[in-house]
Amino acid sequence: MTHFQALDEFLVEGQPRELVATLWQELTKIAPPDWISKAKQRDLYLAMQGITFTLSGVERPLPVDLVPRIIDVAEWKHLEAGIKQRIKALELFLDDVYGKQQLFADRVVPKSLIVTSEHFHRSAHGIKPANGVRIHVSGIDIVRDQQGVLRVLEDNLRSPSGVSYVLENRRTMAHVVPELFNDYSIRSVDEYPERLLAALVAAAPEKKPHPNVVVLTPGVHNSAHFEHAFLARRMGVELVEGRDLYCKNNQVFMRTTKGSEQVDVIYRRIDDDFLDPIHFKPDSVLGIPGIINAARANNVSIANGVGNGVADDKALYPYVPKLIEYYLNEDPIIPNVDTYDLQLPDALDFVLSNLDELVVKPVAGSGGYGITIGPRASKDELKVVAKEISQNPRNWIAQPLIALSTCPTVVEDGTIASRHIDFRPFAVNDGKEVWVLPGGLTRVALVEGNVVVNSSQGGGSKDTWVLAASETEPQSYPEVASDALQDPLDTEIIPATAGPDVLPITRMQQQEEQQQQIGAKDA
Amino acid sequence: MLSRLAESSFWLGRYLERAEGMSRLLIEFHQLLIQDNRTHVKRGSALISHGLGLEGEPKTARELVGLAYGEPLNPGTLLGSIHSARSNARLIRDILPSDFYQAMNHVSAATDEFSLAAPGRSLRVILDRLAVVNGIFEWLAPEDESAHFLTLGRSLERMDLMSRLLSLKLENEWRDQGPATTLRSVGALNTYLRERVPLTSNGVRKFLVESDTFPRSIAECAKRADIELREVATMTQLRVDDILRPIGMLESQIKYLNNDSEELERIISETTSAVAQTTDGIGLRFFRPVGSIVWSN
Repeated sequence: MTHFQALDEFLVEGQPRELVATLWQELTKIAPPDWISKAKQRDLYLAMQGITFTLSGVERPLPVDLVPRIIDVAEWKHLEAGIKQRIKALELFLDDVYGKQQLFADRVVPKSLIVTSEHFHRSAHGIKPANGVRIHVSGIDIVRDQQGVLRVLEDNLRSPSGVSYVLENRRTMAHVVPELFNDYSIRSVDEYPERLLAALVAAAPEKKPHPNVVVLTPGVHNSAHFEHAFLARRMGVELVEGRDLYCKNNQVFMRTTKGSEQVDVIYRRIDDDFLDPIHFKPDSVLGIPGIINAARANNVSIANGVGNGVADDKALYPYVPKLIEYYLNEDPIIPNVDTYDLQLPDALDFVLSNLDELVVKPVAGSGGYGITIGPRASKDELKVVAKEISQNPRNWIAQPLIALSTCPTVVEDGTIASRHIDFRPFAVNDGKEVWVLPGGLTRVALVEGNVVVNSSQGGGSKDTWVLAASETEPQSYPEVASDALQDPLDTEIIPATAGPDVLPITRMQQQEEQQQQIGAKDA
Repeated sequence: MLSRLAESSFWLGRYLERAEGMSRLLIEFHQLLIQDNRTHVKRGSALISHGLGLEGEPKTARELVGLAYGEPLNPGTLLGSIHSARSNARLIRDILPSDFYQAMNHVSAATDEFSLAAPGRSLRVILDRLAVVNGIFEWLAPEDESAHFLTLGRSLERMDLMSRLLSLKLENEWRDQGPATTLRSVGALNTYLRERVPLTSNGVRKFLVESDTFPRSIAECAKRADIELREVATMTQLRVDDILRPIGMLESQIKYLNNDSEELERIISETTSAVAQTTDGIGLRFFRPVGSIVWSN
């Protein structure tokens, strides 16, 4: 792991970059024992607020590191544009795959690659979403390589999780380490639930003034249940489980105390496979029989779209830059990590003979499971992987090992040390605009040298500060209170009223004197 | 009951509510301002401190909290209202459940540990302990005159705080976060969202004035104050119609409020004076202030 050097987000040869200079000053003022006590306060706060994720059945707080990550205005603009571009292209791709399939005729992507994807669902073919959106919410994972270039590591277009931690991390930071915010102006992440709700409402099959939106969760045992509850609460909508819903006449209803209530939009946080036992896993008890047919009849909208997985399949990933060129006629703004498509014989040979220097990932995997990091693996491990790859190259991709950039992080003994990070910005598509949440989930590998940052692998997270441009930046919300013209500073304020002094000084003194006199007399 | 005890109960209610309201407000204002240290913070802190009737020119989130946290002898500040609440509780501790006074002391103790270094945390502790005080009152306090005066004071204070909060017009200054922060600072965000109304400035203002589901809306507090005052009238066999007038007028204006936003703003600004008039009226009728004695030849 020493043959190349990861880039640090904060420090160059031990000196802070200009962007973080003030923050670095504040950070270094805090001594290790103080960091430890702050970490305790943080854990208590998270536990009391119930901000947890469930790992192997145990509820635990998602450790948020107390050192934030900062993204400046220019870099954010670049990221934002790149993410928008990618989502637009992938939307067109999905529309094509589940529609005309023009891309196969134009030989952009081999058809075999798509139809062999386990996330390609024939049952989703021909379903036309009401406002054309399939990727309502996306989380595109971004890393910075050793040259400082931001690259897309993978796309998450099914039900990317983590956004609740973005919002809660900000509140936690303001609670535990307010001093760090000195002298930075940071864009708020708080409007995410509103944006999401607006996008879901826009996705409703019919134009109703108040379409019934619900969040569908697998239940309390799911690792992201906190997030499901958080989003339902912050959007003011019902959090439902599969058993709360049923289909009748190709419509979806929920069972309520007042009887049945029709559901128009389902933000589902359960996988395709479990969604509808009629079309997918027949033994699924989490889903709703008939929901796919209801969606096909355009009586309910499912977000994110069914079959989206074909677009974030790791085997499709190397083709995404090509898709951007094909659909948008633009060059990709954020490049990919170089990836070998193992279905090409030359690439397969190269990868098999250089396994010890590459990272190989199963295309179906997520959560960091099943990844083999060549330089770290033993010879026997590599042999096993080589055998599996040559048996079924479609199931694997290979990439050169990227030294993920590092960021100072508070470690267990209260000192600050560098740890590898990545970044998951979240984007919401309402059909008119792809909106990127100004912030995102920076994940950090808390174990020294570790490059797998997934929370299921013991990773933590960081509050991510996207800096605000300037005072003149237009704000996104158009509405202003009716009498905005009158400055509240000019209005007369009646001072807070107060009750009478409960015991004016004079009376208090008199009482004390009296007691003393009585006392003296008694003595 | 003794006028003096009645008066202390009334003001205990007001100060307790003020302390709770201020703590919640400051937690949210701090959250709002802290992320915004360069663009709005100066104007924002000035706006908020002006709206709360504080004297001083805070330039940062921390300075604002420091100013609003204030001092024991200024009852317009958080520390002042806690101090005044405790002083009033002390005067009537004989008629209060003993747990109540003990819980009140826990609130005071929390102020000893208050630290501006992490105000959010300290304010949360104060808020939690105030919740215990209020819980004990709900569960244990006898439903006597004292309790009615306390609830009356609390309801009036809630109306006052709400109208002050709405006068700040946070959403003009922070168009993205303003509406949500306004709701959060009175603990109304979830209730509002459950109503399935879009989160807009006007929607929020209307909700906080006229909602009949949210117990701290001006309408609900006015209704409550009305009920409590009538209870007191029955118990003391004194007339209260004239005292009730400003509140009653406010109630009917809210009841017949349409989508008229000018009318809405008028109601918001008139609430403060209605509360002041009612407080004066209650004082004169029930607390029987003693004029200072003047010797004449």
